[in-house]
Amino acid sequence: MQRNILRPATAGVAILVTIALVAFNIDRIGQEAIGQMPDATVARDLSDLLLHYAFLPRLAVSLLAGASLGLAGVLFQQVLQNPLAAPDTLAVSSGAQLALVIGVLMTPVFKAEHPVFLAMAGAFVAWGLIALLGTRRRSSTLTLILAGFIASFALGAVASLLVLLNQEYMTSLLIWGAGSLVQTDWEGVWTLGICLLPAIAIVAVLGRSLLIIGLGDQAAGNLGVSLRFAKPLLLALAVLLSASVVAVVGVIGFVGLAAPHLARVLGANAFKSRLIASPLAGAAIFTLVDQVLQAAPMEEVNALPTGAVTALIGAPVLILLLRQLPVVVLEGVEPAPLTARAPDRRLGSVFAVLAALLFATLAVALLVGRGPDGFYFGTAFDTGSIDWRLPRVVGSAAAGLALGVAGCLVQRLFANPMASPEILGIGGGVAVGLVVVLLISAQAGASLQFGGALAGAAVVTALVVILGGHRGFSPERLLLIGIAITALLNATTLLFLALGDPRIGQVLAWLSGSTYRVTPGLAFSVLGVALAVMACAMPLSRWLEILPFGPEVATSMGLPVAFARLVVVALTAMATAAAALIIGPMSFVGLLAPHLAAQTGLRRAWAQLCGAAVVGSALVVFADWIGRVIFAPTELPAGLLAVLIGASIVALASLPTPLRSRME
Amino acid sequence: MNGAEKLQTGFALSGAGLVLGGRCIVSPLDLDLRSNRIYGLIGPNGSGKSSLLRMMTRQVAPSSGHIRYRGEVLQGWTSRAFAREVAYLPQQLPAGQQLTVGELVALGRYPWHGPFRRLSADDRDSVAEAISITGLGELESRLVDTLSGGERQRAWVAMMVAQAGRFLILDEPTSALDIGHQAQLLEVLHEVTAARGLGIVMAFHDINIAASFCDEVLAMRDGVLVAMGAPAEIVTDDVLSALYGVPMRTMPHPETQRPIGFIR
Repeated sequence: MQRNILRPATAGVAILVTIALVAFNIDRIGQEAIGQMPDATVARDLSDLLLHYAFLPRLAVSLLAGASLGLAGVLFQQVLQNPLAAPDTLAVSSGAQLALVIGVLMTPVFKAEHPVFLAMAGAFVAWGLIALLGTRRRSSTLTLILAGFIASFALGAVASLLVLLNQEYMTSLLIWGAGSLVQTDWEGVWTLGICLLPAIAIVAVLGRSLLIIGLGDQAAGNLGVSLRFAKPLLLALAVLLSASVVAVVGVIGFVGLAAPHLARVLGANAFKSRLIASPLAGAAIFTLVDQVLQAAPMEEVNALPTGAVTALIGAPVLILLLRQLPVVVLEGVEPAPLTARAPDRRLGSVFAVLAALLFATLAVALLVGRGPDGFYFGTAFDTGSIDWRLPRVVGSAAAGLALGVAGCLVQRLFANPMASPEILGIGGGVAVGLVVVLLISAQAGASLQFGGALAGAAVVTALVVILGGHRGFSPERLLLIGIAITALLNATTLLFLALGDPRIGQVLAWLSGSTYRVTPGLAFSVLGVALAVMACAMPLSRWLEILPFGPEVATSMGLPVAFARLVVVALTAMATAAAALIIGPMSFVGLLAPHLAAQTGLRRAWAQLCGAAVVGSALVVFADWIGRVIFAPTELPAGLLAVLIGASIVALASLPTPLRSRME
Repeated sequence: MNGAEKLQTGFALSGAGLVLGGRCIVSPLDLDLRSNRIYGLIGPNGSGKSSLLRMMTRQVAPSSGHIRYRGEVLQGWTSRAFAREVAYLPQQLPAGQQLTVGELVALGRYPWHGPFRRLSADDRDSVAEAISITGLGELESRLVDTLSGGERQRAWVAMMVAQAGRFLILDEPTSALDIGHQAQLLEVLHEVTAARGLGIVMAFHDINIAASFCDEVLAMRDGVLVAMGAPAEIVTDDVLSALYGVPMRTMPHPETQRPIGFIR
């Protein structure tokens, strides 16, 4: 009983606080105007100006953007029947962002009159990508989220690559990308309103279909609701809403995901009330955070991008709410793709080919360079090139090895071939550790940076282990924690970047996975860690084969499931952290390498581990070499290139498959 | 002597019940189950069949009473020692994860050799025996995921046979199979009990299949064990009507004379 009163009361208090803050901020504008302009009439004019062209549009934008995200979130979650679906987890936001970044960079040649259309195009392309990956694997809920996670980072990687290559636009792009709400006119309000109001009308008309969609396709068909029409329309609405928000205020993490859950926690249990409460909750959270930021006495705080701060606050809230949320059941077990080849393929020959591939890549990376006169071959011992190349090559190989092994481990832990070590959020922990060290000390040396990165990884690993242990490390829970931690860490890094710190370049270069500054010591210690993790994982290959059977069967076969999961999580964390020190937090080599290894016919856990290690090494070394020579003397970071190479391989591999499966 | 022997060879539930979220899933019940016998568990949906099986296989701990296996409470067994005795297959078969039938069956030896030890001659013999009892010889090098539903079921049963020495516990293994494959699977299970003296506890969807296959039928409703006995004692008008809540009658099978239940 008490709870029932408490929860709406919480919402009421939040709304009252927001209103009070709005009043306070309006008053403050007047005070400041008087402070700046001694003449009373001029001061009144100035404060009117500020109120009408800055404060009120900003207030309206925060309300509308929050509501749009809340509505988009609840639509995605209901139509896809997936509690983790949201504009940001489905990569729709990053698609829109990438399109806008491309638009900004092309401005002199081709100027977009209405960026919102550009954002929508990007969002729909991203959504198409996810849908393609999803249908290919018959859209289990877990797979869709994993695919979204990958796509959003791949698109984000392209966007940051573009930003890196166009440094003159960097600061403004970053601030906008982090979700700044500063307005100078009413245009943003109009854009959001024009998208949101018709969307509300359509949802109101289709409200009943939406409710029935929640019962599943079969039931909806029996009740005469045409899903062919309603589902794509509602999804398109959600994508449009997300794109309009990105076009006006940038990528806002978290509001879309959290608003429907917040509505539920506050008592909106029935779907109808949740449909109404989610946009309201989104608007309320977003406006509250924005007003708090504006009310803060420090100017530095006033300038913080609201989007990043919202994610920063929202992520811990989601983690705290984890226990209150209904148990998220994702259809986790996913059949691995069947290898096309006969199972009795000679392992020896596969390994020989893979090893030859690795050695060839290593040789090319060490021996082939590009100078002013084009490509040249040779060790160039006399010029000392080998001393420059060796640490990078060893480091890349070690990182690739670690990621290949980690990917194998995590895919077997999640029983899903779309899982990737990045989803545990450990790379993000490394990023924040580094950023914090740079913030604290202006002249942090390599060893201090290394220490910070390790500490970040350790903290995140501990968080994952402590929070995940509550339900015996169930994949659903680990995934949720990983998403929350990653959002938190991304927000922290974005904030740091948006503050315009001169060390932006250094951090960005590291985040995008550049190997320029790898020392021999770092390279060989990462190699050591990677080999140690592999040495620990190999004898556990029976665990790795039984774990994917699911906890029930694994328990009845005598496997200590929670302990085995803990060991696998710990090994994955170590390998991921070590790799992140060299090629940054996001590369998705860990996704790709086990996949490619399986494609060559390595099915057993031990064989796949070895294969993934070799393929991962070769992939990162190759990406590093390409980045070194393709635009020489300008270098592209290996991590970004690995994402691009990997994403194109995945895209190529997935294209013909829907056709093939339809024919069967 | 009979009672003591029962304790030594099988499950003894005393007052074992399960309460989840304030709802009583399985009312405290007393039950003895011996090996070398086939038990069929029947009852409407949500009657607590799966939960009872899950308690017996240590997936969930009973919230009241206790369950002994071979005289020792379940919590007293180490997980591998228990797995060497009792194997469990849930209703939903796990994906095969790109294993061949032979490899899957060999994984069933995990509780015997553990994570590190190599396969012994004993292990190899058990695997070969399990494969031959279940008639999977020709399919041994096929990938499990490429088999038909019935063959996949048999492959998992073979894995259980290789794993456990005394009891197989299966949750509605026949519900997804057509009648021919059902008969085939039950035939295989019969051969397993005959060859190895295993006990089988199985939940069934279909009362007549359970009656034709089991030595003893356990009928559950709303978490309560309402009747237990030979098929002829359970498949009667009164018990079935009470169990399913619809008027039901029985008639003798034209050939075997076993009673068959049907809705009136």
